Amino acid sequence: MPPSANDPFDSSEGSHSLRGPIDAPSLYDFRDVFERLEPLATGTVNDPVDPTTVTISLADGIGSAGSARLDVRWATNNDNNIHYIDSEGRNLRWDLHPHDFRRPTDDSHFHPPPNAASTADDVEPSCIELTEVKLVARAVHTCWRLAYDSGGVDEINAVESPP
Amino acid sequence: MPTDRPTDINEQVEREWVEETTPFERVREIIKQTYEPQPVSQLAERARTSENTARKHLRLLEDDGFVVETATSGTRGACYKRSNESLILEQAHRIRSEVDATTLAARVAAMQQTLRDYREEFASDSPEDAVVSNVDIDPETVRAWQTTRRNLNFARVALAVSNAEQDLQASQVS
Repeated sequence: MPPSANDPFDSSEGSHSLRGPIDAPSLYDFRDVFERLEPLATGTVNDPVDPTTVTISLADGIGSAGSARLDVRWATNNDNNIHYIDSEGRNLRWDLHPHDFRRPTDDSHFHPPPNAASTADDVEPSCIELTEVKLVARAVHTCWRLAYDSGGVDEINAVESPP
Repeated sequence: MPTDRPTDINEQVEREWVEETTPFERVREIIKQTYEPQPVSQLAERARTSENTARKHLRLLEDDGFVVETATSGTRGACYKRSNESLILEQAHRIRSEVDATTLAARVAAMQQTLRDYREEFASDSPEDAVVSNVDIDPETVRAWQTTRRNLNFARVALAVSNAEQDLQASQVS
């Protein structure tokens, strides 16, 4: 089946895809870690038999947003997309996969808010250098909590020292 | 002080992980998704423990069937990876805890049909063949095909266990 129209991931980015199949156990591990760390979070794997995505619903959003969610895809080789969208329509995405952007030069990169921009000038280095799924889940949670507590989404890719 | 590639978040996360887990838990956690063999030295580094400690725990995990030791290659020493059997049984167990047997049978049939449709549409036996033979297939479709094929392996075993359990039960009562 082709990706459905409501696929949260931009399938037009053909050259920016994850390599290889989605890893079901990683989706469940990401969910378990995030739910354990975050009282506001409820995680749902989209299909128990043929899973492709885990969605973490957050019962509150950053700043004026009333809610938010993370859509996560994770491949068997640890390529991943972690897409955040809130009730105000603000989007951002941490990615780990080969890409055509001039920078950063490694596979990890960040599509900044408010639109998870994919233009070459906008794509940034990602603050997440870890690759193990449970550690990345912890790192995303740390980023989310810093942004949530500060009330601003602009600094969520925490490439500067936290206070 | 801001730098191009700062490590604060990563260092903080690693520190918390090491504080909250035992070396055994970390070795088990990192080998869980290690599907390609890796040398003990690399696994130890990923688990933030010594090679000797990692080796000891990997041997215990091998006794439990969670990992397998693979053929050693030259000077790299012993390599380990997640056991496929352990992965398949774990996922089959998870599926059975979430889906009833009737639904599962229908889903397995539908996934098998999905794979047949892919093979027919792209005139290829596998997504890898389709890529090699340069048929017009986008990367998202390749990944969707690979994903359903992989998930079907788990679902088929879940269904087989369900069926075997029913047969066993029937033969025990009669």
